[in-house]
Amino acid sequence: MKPQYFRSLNIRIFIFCLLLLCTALIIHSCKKNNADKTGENNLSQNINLAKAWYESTYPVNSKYSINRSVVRPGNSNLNSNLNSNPQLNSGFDYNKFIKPDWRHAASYTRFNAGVLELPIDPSSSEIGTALSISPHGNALYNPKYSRSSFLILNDSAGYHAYIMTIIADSAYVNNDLSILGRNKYNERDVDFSGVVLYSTPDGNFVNGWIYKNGNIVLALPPGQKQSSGAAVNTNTTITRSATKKGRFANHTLMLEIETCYTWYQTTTVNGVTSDPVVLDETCYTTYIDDTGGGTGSSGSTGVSGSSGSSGGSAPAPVPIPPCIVPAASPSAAALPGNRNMIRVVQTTGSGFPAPTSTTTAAPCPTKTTTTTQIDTIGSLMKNPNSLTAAQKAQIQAVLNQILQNCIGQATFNYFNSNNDKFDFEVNSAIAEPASYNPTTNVINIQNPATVTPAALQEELFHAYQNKTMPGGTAQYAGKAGDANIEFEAKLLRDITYYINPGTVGNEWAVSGDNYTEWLGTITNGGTSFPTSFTSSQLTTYFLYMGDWLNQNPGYSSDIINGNLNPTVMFNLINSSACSN
Amino acid sequence: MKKQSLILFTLLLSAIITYAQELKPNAIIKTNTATYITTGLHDGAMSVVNSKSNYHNKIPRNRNPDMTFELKDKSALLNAFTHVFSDERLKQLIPEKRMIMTFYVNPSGQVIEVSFIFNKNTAVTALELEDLEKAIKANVFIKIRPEEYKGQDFFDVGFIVVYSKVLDRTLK
Repeated sequence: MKPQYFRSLNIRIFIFCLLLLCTALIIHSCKKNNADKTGENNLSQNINLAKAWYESTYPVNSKYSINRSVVRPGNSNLNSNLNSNPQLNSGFDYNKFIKPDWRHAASYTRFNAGVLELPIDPSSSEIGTALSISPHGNALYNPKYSRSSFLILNDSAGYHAYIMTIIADSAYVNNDLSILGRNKYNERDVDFSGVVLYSTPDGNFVNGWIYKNGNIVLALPPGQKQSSGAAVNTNTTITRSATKKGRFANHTLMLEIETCYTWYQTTTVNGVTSDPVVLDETCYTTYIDDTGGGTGSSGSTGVSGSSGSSGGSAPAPVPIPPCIVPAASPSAAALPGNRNMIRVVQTTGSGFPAPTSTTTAAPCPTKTTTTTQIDTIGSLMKNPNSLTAAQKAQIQAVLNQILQNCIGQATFNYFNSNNDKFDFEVNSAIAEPASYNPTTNVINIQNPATVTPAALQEELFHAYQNKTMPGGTAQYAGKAGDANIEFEAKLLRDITYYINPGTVGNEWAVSGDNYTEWLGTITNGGTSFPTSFTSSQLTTYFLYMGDWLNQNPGYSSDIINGNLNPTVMFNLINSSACSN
Repeated sequence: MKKQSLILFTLLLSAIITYAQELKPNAIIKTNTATYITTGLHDGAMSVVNSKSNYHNKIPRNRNPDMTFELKDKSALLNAFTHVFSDERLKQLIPEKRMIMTFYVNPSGQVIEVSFIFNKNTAVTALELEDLEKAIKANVFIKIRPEEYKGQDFFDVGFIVVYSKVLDRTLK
């Protein structure tokens, strides 16, 4: 039997050890974590250093307190405090109205510089920024969807401060303002559409970038207006709605079309809007072959950015051109051997470009590809002088779109390989957007600025019908068979759209679900062009031709020829890449 | 026992309600605020149209098949689809490839009705269709080219949306 006191002693020792252990644990857990604290101290120190630099460079307190009392809704003197003398780079002085919220700084490193990204202090004035292309016109970018923040960059040259203003596109925001919070200096939505503007806190515009669906489409560098060759023709019709000016310059092989925009920024402080400030005039250039030569001529379509804009009725939204291409860029050059170089704008990854970027630096990365294209409009025209340079450029732009589908390409290939030419004439008196006259072999265009690829492609097909049908198509004018000529072209258009749909809709040749379903049947669910009809499909084809005449009064006088099958359509499809 | 019966009944009811939202040919499907009528077509597809439609199967006066129709806001149709279908849902719909629609548009360019064509085994539900129709009517506007307008009372505009283009946001 164990003595009783041993048992009692063991318990006492155990309790003592346990208490000692607990005490040690408590003391250890209460001990300061020096490792963590070192990081916090460094961050705090960085912020304090940046704050000291900022407040000495941009002394906020005096200005801030003065202007807080001045800026109030309805104050007629506001504009004199904001900016009453708009001129290039004389911008909105943010420092008078807003200050950084140092307590909510985000710290990171980007582009080899330390970054402090700071929201606006809540006690600051409420500001909104708008961007437009006319001094008092509607804003292209609405101040409701803008958000500004401070950036303090610390690189080898020291500190630099910027105001970063993001103005989102209304379609991108889609009434959800929280989406703005997803876009910061170092992170950006992949489909961001809008503009990012950088300026110094005292209002000097630094640069800006316009995004569409996550891609930079335009740079706004102040005072970097592109210079071009001597203007030989002032043109106001090529992009008349949105263009301040357009001009042409003749080069050896290329027609150069320069399009310019002037960008105005207005800033709203507590509901009162400043006078517009001119940020920049940006220009972009479209190059079109101007040799006017025959088959196989060199040059062709060299596109510096987009194919440009072509008319339109409303100034907003502007057809936004891509990044500015420096005048000396090889992308504009024609190469020997029927080739040209095309500049392709790519996405820039997450985040926004650095305020220090220039047009030739990273934010507009490009790759240059060499492609072979044939002089398109020139090789179709019998008389190169039947169109003005502007009309030619506009029709060329439409033709470029047509050539992107296999039917359009096959139609063009036929004329090009047979050296078969006809003329384009502009005739505003015609009732349709475009028409083809098989007797004169002329394609008439009502307005080259508004003609659509679908309309022009249909007339090119009519020309193809005329050239390839035995005896041509003029023999059917006003006689049995003219309905067949038209309906065959309409069906080919519908098939092309059914297989390659976009956001341009059309009224099908025949109204009703059964015709639409039939298009699906003959195209194998929209996956392939039909290369022939079965006998039952041919019967259905003629039935729908009858419906088409009944439904569309403009064609009601046309007459069906029951023996004229859609052979031309199938010949074209079978000769094209569409049948592969 | 009572509790088990209640759970079983609830499950059965849920299944019935879920099934009732499926689109099947030649049926009438009710949603919260709309009723859709489906009609089998010749080649195995079906049309789906709101029972209150005033324009489906009507021929516009002075119909002109030479007109083309662009969206005023090119991203509006994409936005309508992404508003209704999540990316996960779009992935489920990709085997169906496309949705075929007819927009009935007034001369101002406003979409006043929408009808649809699906294959008969579509996974799209009536509830989704109801939301989509609302989103399209609220957000999608069509440019009417004055030079092409010849006094039509309305336009029946065919639009085809490929699901994969919605998923990768390239519907433009």
